[in-house]
Amino acid sequence: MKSVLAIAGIAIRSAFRSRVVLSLFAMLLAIIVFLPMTIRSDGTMQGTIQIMLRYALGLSFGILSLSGLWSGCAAVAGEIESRTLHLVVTKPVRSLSIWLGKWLGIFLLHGSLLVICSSISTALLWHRLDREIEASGQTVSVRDLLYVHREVQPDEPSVLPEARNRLREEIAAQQVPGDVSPDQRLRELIQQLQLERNAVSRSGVRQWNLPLPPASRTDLSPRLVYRMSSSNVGAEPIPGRWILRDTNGTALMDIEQEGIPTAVNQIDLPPELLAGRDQITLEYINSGDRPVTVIFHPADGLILQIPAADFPWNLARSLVLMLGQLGFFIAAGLTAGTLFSFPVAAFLSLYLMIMIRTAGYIQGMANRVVATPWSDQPEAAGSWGTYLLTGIYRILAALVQPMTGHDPLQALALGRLISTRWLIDAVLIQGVGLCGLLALVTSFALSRKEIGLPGQ
Amino acid sequence: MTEPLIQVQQLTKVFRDFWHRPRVTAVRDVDFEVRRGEIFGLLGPNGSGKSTTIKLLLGLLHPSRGRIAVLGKSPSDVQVKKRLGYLPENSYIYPYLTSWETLDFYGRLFDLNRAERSRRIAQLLDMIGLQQARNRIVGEFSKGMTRRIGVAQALINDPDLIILDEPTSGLDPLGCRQMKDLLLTLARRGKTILMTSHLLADVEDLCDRVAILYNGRIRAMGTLDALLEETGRYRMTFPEGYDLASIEAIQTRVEQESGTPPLVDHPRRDLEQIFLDVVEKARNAETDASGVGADHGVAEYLARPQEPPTPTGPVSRSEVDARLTALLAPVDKQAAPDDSGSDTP
Repeated sequence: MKSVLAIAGIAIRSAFRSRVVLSLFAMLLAIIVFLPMTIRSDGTMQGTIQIMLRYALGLSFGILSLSGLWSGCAAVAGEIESRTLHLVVTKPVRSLSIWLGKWLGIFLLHGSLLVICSSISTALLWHRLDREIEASGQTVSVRDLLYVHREVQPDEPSVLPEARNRLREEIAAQQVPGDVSPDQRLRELIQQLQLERNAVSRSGVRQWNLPLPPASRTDLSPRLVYRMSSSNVGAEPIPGRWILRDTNGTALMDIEQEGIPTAVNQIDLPPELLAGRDQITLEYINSGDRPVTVIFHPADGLILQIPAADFPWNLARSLVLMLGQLGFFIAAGLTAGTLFSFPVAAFLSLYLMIMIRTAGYIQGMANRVVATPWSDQPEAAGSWGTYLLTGIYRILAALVQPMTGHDPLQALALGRLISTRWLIDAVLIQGVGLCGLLALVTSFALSRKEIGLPGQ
Repeated sequence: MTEPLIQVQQLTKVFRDFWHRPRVTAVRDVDFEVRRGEIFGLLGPNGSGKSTTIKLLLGLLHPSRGRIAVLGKSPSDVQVKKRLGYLPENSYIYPYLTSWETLDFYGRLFDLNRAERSRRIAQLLDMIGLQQARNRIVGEFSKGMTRRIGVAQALINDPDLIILDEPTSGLDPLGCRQMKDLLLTLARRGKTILMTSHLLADVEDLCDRVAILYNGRIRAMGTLDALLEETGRYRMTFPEGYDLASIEAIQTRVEQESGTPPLVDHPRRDLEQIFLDVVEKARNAETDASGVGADHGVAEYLARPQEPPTPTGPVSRSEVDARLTALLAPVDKQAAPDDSGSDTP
């Protein structure tokens, strides 16, 4: 342990004395303080929160991740090139201790900077929201504005089985056009079914079942958030009636609200309304006079937000998640730096980071519904090119998925509760699992590596 | 016979390219052993395989063929590394640390406790003459000063075996002399030293045995005495003020007996010794120095009960004297009347 701490201490001292920390901190401070001034807000307090947390703190975290990755590469590959590692490995230190020491040093340095940046960013956000609330004359406090909620989405079955049935029928009836592949038709059918389910014509009704988790805070209002599109061009408000019922069908609330298409609409519910209930039913009636059809967004058309915790609690959890990601990036850098020369390690690390940042796209491509020859409708099989591409994306997604998780800063900015389950998963997968695996791989590689080769 | 601390058998190292094709054979079929308490030198021109051999002994490279045993075990064994001190050709020290921090860091890697580290570091800095530069950043040091710190880090664990790659490289004559004195003292105190050098004078001053490498192979190996001694010829040095007539008498006698006049000339002073004298005088005159100060012998903790001298060492002064006495016995007898102070030849 003494050697681990000694190696960690060297990493920290060198970073301070080489002024790496100072220049990094100056850059981060400039981003946190000056970036929000240069981005134009949409005028809402939610917009301010987004700018301060997602953009400013998000960019700082991105820079720290990159710096951690880079430092990880340099800590081994750079030291092999400068040969300072030659002396260290001739001392009675195990390669795992070298890995742990370097990881700990870089992690403590970058982790401290992240905590400092988050604290400054939060303080600035608090101050700015306070001023905006004062200017708007509202009675709400910053604490209430930044309350953290748990999101509840409607409990609805998937449309995929129905889409497959329809595709089977269409193929049997030879209704699929020749220039449309079965895969493409299947995707069209999925979209069509989702549209049918979420479209509400004039005087039409749409109903959702919402399972309720226990509310942690009963002093704040739950919030119903919905997003929709309109069959009319433009953003003209559409009147709608919302009825909230218990499991017996008794109406608990019945209100009218004009919803604005494409915007995020919200209805604050009385705090006591959901108390003691484990499920509710929500009805929407398109009550407008004009023949306009409303289409709720399939993914996030309706969400019930239930108050769950205070902002600092969520901030602390998001910090744990970000520290986990940071630790993983440093571990990845150390591994790349051990296995390859510094330039190669740096490029590979950068590539890994890009993959992680574009994980959403990769997951999307991997999750595409593809009809295969071994599925229940072999006649609907797609082309081999489609299988190959989808296969590659599925492999990439499987590799990247454990490294990504969800975006903690997005959750923080949107006030979504970072659940304990999420936290434990991240710590176990990224912190213990991935970092531990990389530590073992790297220390084994380091113990086998010929670091005294000429030219190294 | 003393136990070997290093045993190398059929050692071969082939460097390969990216495609694993053999590129160069740096060391081929090398056999040697280093015994406890001796100073063993690996000599050779640049590129002869000295540093590669050292790296193989330290586990920084893996042999392509052959066997290495350091202190009876594999070089990568942690227990071996605990008893080993290594000074690389260039002292690869972290440039942002002070001298004290550098030695403290390496001390911590040997799991020494704080008090022990402090004691040893103070003694080592005193020994290498850098006590005044203890809080200076190593990156600002001259090459010689960095080299001294390198030596200190190699001794922080009081090693049994010290491996030195070009130990006098980058040192001024004073530093060289001090380094050589240090190594001799360490050897006298039971340390085993393996060093490489292409400076033959250093090797001659220090080593008990040497191996001469060329193109990765050992071309000659043995004690310095055996390698250097010209057993058929002798040299005499007369004390200052010795009577010239007596010298001429000896010269005549030798010429009569051998048929060839012996070569008689004035011995030249050693430039290194002149340099050291000048520096010593200057140091005595100056009290303040920002760089290397006077060294103060060997760190106390490195002191060990002396082991019996190895039988393979160079010929001692007394042994040379005895040989000369025997050789000159007839001449002494002839010149005896002149020893009373007469200036008559």
